[in-house]
Amino acid sequence: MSLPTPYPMPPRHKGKLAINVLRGRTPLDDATVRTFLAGRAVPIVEGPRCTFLYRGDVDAVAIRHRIVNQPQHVPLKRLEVVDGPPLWYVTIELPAHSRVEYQVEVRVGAAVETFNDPLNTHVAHSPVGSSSVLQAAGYETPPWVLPQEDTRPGDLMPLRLQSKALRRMTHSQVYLPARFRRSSHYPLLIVHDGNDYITYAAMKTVLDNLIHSIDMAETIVVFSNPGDRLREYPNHAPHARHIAHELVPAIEEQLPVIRRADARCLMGASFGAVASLSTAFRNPEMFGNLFLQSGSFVFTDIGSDHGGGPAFDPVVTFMNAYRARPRKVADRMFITCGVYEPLIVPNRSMVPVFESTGATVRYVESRDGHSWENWRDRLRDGLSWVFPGPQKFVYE
Amino acid sequence: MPAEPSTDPGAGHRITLLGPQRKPRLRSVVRGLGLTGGHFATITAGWRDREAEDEILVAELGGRTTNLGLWSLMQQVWEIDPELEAADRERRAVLGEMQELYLIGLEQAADGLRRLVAQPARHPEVQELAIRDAVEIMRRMDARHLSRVDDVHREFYATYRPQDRDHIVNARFAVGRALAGTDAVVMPGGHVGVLLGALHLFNLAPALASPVLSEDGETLLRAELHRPIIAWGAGAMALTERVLLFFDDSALRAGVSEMLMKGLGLTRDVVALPSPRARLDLKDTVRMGRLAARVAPAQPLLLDERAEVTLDADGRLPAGAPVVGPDGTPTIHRREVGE
Repeated sequence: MSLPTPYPMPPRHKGKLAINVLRGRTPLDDATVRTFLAGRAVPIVEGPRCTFLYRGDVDAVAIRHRIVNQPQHVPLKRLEVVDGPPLWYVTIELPAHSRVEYQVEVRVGAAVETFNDPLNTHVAHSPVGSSSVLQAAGYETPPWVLPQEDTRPGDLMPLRLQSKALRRMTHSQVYLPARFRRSSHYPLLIVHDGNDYITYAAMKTVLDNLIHSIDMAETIVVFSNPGDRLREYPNHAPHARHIAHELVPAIEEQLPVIRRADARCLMGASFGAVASLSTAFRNPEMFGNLFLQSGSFVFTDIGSDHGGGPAFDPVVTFMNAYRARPRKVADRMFITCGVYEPLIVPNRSMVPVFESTGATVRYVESRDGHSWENWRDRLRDGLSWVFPGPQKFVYE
Repeated sequence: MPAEPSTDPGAGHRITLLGPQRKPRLRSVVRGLGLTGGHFATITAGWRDREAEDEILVAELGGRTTNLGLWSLMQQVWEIDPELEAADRERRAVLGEMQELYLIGLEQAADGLRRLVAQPARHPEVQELAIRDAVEIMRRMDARHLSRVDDVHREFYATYRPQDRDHIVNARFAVGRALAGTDAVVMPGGHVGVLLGALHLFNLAPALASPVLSEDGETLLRAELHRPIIAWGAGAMALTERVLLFFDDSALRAGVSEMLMKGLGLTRDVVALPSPRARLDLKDTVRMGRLAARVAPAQPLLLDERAEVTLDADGRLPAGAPVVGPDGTPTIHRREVGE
C-alpha cells in the first residue's frame, strides 16, 4: 500500500517581501544593504516565496538547482547600490517543507564560476562535493538525525572480507546496537554505499537515536562498500553472489543474527537501490525486506534509448526484463523518492509493478531531490517500518 | 497525592501508581507510604533480558529486595519445554495477527469518526448521535477484541496445561515462597506484553491478591491485596482491568489507541496512561474526549513524571487523581456521593 504523502498547507506571508521593501529605498546605499543582510538568513523565506541574494560587482548571477521540470538556471536581477557593489536577487516560489540543493553561478566577462552561496550557512555534503541548501518554510531538520545527549551509542567495527566473487578485499563496517549481547538475536540490515550513508546521511547517529527511542528494533547493520560502483551495483552477478553467499554467511557465523528472510533487509540509494533489488531478485526468498531510496530504476517502454548514458545500460536491461516478467523479490518493500528528482517518474511507475507481485509496498515521496539529506530524512519512516521497535508495547 | 501512612492494619493494603521514574523518586514514595526498611519483592520482567540490571531500583528501595526473576524463569521454561515454547510462539503469532486486524478495523472506525466530527453540522443533535454511534462501534470492537484474546489464552492454558507441568508448578511454588517473605511488591515499567505474559505464566494474580466476591459468588467486588503494591509504566498498566496501548507520535502511522488484553484486574474502573505528555497529543481534546468515552465508565489515569496516586482499598481512584475528563481535558477525579 502506498502512503498518501501528507503535503502540508502552503505557508502564508502577509505584507511586502523584504526585498521589495529594500528596493523601495532610493537611492540605495551600501550601509543600508549591509544592515539588510546582517543577521538575516539567506535565502530569505517568506511563506512560499524564497529570495536568493548575491552581493558582488560581476556581470551576471544565476542560481543552479536540479528541480526536475523547472528552469534549472535562474538568473538574478541587479539592484544598483550607490556607493558599493550591486545586490543581485531573485524570488521563486517553493511549496512548504521543500528542501533544495543549489549553487550560485557568477559570470565576469567570459569566465563563469559556480560555488556555494556565500550568504547561506546551510551546506549539504556528498561524495561529489557540497551544495548550498534552501530550506523552504516548514522544513525542519529532524531531531533524530542529530546526536542526542541521553542516547546510548552503538559501536562500529571494521569488517574485512576477501571476496572470491568480486575478486577483491571488501571493506565494510558493522554496527552493533548499544547494549549488544551475544545471547540475543538481531535482525540484519545490509546497506549499500555504507560509508556514504554514515558520512552524509548520519546513519550511525540515526540508528542510535531510533533504537534508543525504540522506534526501531535493535538491529545489526552491515555498511558495505563498493569497489567499482558503476560495475558492481547495476545488476552485477558477482555482487549478488558476494552479498548472499559470502557476506551474509560470514555475518551469521560471527554474530547472533536471526537466520530468517523476514529478519533480513537490503538497503541502498540510487544505484545502491538497484544493487539491493537485483541481489534480492537473484536470491529469491533470502531477503524478506528491501528499503530502496531514489532507486535508479530507469527503463524504456519502446526501444532501448534511455538517455541515461552507458552506466545505465545494465540497469535498463535489468529493469526492462523485470517489468516484462515481474515476480516477488521481497515480502515487504519500503520505497522513497524525492519529487524534485528526475527518478520520480520511474519510481512512481515501479510501485504498482512491485505491488502486482504480492509484495507489501510502502511508498513515500518528499519535496526533496536526489541527495543524501533527503535519504537521511526518510530513514526514520523506513527503518521503523522495516524493523519496528516495540514502542507501542513499552512504557517506562 | 501520597497516602497517609496507615496505622490501621484493617485498612487494607493499597496500590500506589507512579509516573515514570527516569529521575527516581521511589525512595520518598516508599517513605511516604511508611514502607522504609521493608523487604520488597520486585518484578522487572518487563525489562526482558535486562531484568537483572536493577541496581538503581534496589538502591532506591533501601537494599532489601528480592527480584522474582520472572523473565529469566520464563526463558528456562521455554528451554526445558520445547512443546510449550512452540505453543506459546504460535499463540503469540495468532495474537499478533489478531491485534493487527483489530487495529485495521479500529483505524477505519477512527477515520470515520474523524470525518463525522469534521462534517459541518446542519443539525448538531443528529451529528452528535452519529458520533456516539461511531464511538459505540469502537467500544464494541474493543470489547470483542479483549474477549477473543481471552479465548486464545484460555485455549492455550486448557490445551497445554502449563499449570500441570512439573517445572511450572515448581517455578510457581518458588515464586510464591519468595513473595511470601516480603512486605511489599514493586513493579516497574517495560514491555507490557512480556510482563503480563510472565505474570500469567507464574500465576501472580492470586499471589498478589484474593478476590472478594458478592454474596451470591457471581460478582467480583474487589481484590484484597496481600501486601502493598507500587507500580509504574507497564507495571501500572498490568495491574488494571484493561491494558490500552497508545502512542500518537508513531513513525509508522497516526496513533489509534488499542486494547491489548485484560490486565490482572486489581483496580476498579482505571485505565492507566503512563507518560501521557510524551505519548499523547493532550491538546487534541476532541480525540482525548473520544478516548475517555471509549473506556468509560473507567477513567483514563494520567501518570506523568510527578504523579503519585494511591488507590483506595477497593482499587478505585481517589478524589484528586489526574484523569482525562469527558470533554477531553486533563482534570482531577471527583468522587461521586456514595462512591
